[in-house]
Formats: sequence, C-alpha cells, structure tokens
Amino acid sequence: MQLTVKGSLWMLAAAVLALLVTILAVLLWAPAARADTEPVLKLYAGANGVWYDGPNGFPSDYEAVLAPRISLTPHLSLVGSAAYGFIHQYTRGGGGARVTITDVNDPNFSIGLGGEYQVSNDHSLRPEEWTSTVNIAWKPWAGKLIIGAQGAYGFDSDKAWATVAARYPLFGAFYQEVNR
Amino acid sequence: MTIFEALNHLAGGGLGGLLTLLENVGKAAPDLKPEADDSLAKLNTALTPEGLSAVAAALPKELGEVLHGKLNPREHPSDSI
Repeated sequence: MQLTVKGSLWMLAAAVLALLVTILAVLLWAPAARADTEPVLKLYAGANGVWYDGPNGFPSDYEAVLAPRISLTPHLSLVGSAAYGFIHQYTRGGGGARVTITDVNDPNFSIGLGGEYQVSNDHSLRPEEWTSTVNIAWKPWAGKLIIGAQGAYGFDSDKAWATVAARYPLFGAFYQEVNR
Repeated sequence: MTIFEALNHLAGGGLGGLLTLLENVGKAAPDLKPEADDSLAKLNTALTPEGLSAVAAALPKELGEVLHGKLNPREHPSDSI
C-alpha cells in the first residue's frame, strides 16, 4: 500500500510537470536568451530548513528541493515543488499560483503571496491540503544564488510551518521579451 | 485586522519571524545589512493599502493578457521558494 502511495505521488507530480512543459512547448517558441528577455519556465534546485513547531532552535527537518516556476505576467506566476525531507524521510510536492506584491521589475528582491495545494506521503507532518504562503527572497550578492523564507498555513489542518531556503537556477526555457 | 495581521495569518503566524530573520541577517552579516535594510523598507512599502491596491488593480488586466496568449515574464526570487 505504501509503495503504491509513493509511486502514485511521484507519477502524479511528473505527469503534471510534463503536461505543463508540453503545453508551453506547443504555445511558445524559445529564442535564444537576449538582453531584456526572461524565461517563462525556470527550474531551481535547492535546500530548505523547515520548522514545524515554531522557528526556534534547529530545523525540524532538512529538505532537498526541485522547484519549477512559470512566470505568466509581471505579478502572476505558477509555482511548484518536489522535495525530500531527510530526517523524517518524507516526500512532498505541490503546486499553485503566486502573486508578487513588490516591485515587479526588481530581479533581486521580491515578496509573493501564494495559494498552493500540497501532497505528501507523511500526512501527519505535511497533510494533503490547500495552503497559503508568504514568500520573501532576495539575491544578496551579484550572482544567481537566492536565499529566502516562507511562512505557510494549511487550511484543513490549521497547521503552520516556516521554511528558510536557498535556491540556484538550473535552467530557463521559452524566453520572452520583457515589456515594461 | 491590519494588513500585517492578515498576511501574518496567511503565513501561519510566521510573518513576524520573517521580519525578525531580515533584521537578524543585518546584525549577523554586516556586509548584508544594506540589502536587509533595503528589503525591510520594500516590505513596509508593499504592506500598505496603496501597495496592495495597485497589485489588485493590475491583476485583472494581466489575467486578460494571459487568456489572449500574451506572456510577460519577470524574474522574482520569491517564485523559487
């Protein structure tokens, strides 16, 4: 039963991601990156420290993460994540929409408010439910490394958790000219 | 309920912790303090009725453009979190 649940979770996540990429590939074409262009699809890799019992002391868990994002408009993006928690040995994924509430033309700092559905194979830690998130991140040095944090709340479980994150972009695709 | 309280609820009560994180970054890493202070200032600007109203006003137009197949992507570090 547990193997079936794990397999279904990864198959679902992979299918959703493949579908999104396929739709974009049909709708868009990808010129080579030029000045003042931005990829619609971008994939990040990174690590998280997660606190399930309040942001005190050491994290409750450490995660390895892959996080795609599809930037649709200056304020609106579709976001996703797939992660593995090393201490509690869980896998989780999710996806949803996010609205940027800070200057949309600042590539080094942003705050986004999100609504995302979370799936997991450890329902006691990460229940499957809709969540709201507040995300803040910036690039503190000239370069690509991003550091940030997230506060999240599960509507069904009434649980909250905090995350500190580091991300690095792996690749971008489907470049579009930026119309400011 | 203030805007901060509303967003704090959305963040599961963690928004205050995020603010503290920014402040602690500035204290722990002096070379990052200008960026941390700048980020705090931008956060305070965003969390105003005017700031959030501007976002709310822009969204319907942007959604319309998406429905017409026009994408206008941006780099937002917070999209990666």
